[in-house]
Amino acid sequence: MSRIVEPTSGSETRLFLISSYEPLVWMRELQAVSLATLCGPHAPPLPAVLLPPCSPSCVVPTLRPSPIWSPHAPLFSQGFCHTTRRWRPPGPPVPDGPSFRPRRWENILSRQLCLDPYVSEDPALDEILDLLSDEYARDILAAASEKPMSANELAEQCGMSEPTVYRRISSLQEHELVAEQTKIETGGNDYKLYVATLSGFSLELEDGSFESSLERQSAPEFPGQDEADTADRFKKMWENL
Amino acid sequence: MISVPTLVDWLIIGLAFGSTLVGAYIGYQAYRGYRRHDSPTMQYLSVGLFLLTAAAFSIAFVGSVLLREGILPARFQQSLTLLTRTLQFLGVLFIAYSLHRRG
Repeated sequence: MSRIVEPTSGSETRLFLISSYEPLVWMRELQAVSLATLCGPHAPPLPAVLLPPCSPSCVVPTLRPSPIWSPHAPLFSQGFCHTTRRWRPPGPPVPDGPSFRPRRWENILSRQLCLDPYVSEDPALDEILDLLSDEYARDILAAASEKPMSANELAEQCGMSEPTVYRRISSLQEHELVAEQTKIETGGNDYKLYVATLSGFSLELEDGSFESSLERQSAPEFPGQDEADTADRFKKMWENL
Repeated sequence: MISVPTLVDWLIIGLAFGSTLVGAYIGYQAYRGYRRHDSPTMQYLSVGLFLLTAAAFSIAFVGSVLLREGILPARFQQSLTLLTRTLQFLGVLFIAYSLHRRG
């Protein structure tokens, strides 16, 4: 259960130590404590700050708590964290004063709700850049962009082992850069074909921030759908029947 | 004696001619596919399509006109039909072979 600790250093804020790292436990304790302290007879004259469980010796001087819409919003004062991220300790306090750049809504909310002030603004972009920086993933995308290929063929053509191919394909599929098709064979051994749906990726620096754009093309319904020349389309379609 | 064809006769002639043309066009595209990619599958497909559509129709058409006009003796009618059906059969045979080749 949480308890109130009177600070010994002479500062005027009261500190509440919460008993466990679980966010749900915090919420319950927060509600219990905040109701008691705000409405009870011993309501503190100054705002209270919540701290995660740690020893009193490592008390970190934290921000002044304030309403959610201010740039100095504290990290744990309210809000339910919808993510399943483990709790991480807060970083250094945000500086006050004219040098402080007011943050946008999304940053404030992400700090409020996800309890991590240093998560990047666009985690998807980071992941895609990581994926594209991998040579194997690029080889797979290049090979699979011409026609649907099975994992076996990709392993052979790109010179990598099948487990590697499957790992890359599963991470590419998460970001919808490859699509899966099932090729039905007589005799019951159906196998999966993979075709690249990524057709372009660009990163532009504009107005002081990066804009990324991912272009995707849908996998052709039949082979040769994208050919311009009739004879080529006919040939691809017929030979892949 | 030359008989004047009725409207239905003209329609039949027009459709037969149209089928010949469209069939020849499809066969030509298949032939181009063969030439661009050197693929035997497309070669057999083009031959088969051509036989099935253009060749059979044109032989049948020309033959029936000749028979009607009396240039060709009447006893050749059955052989003409036989020739037409043989060409059609060869045509579908070639198409089936090109399909089965898995090229």
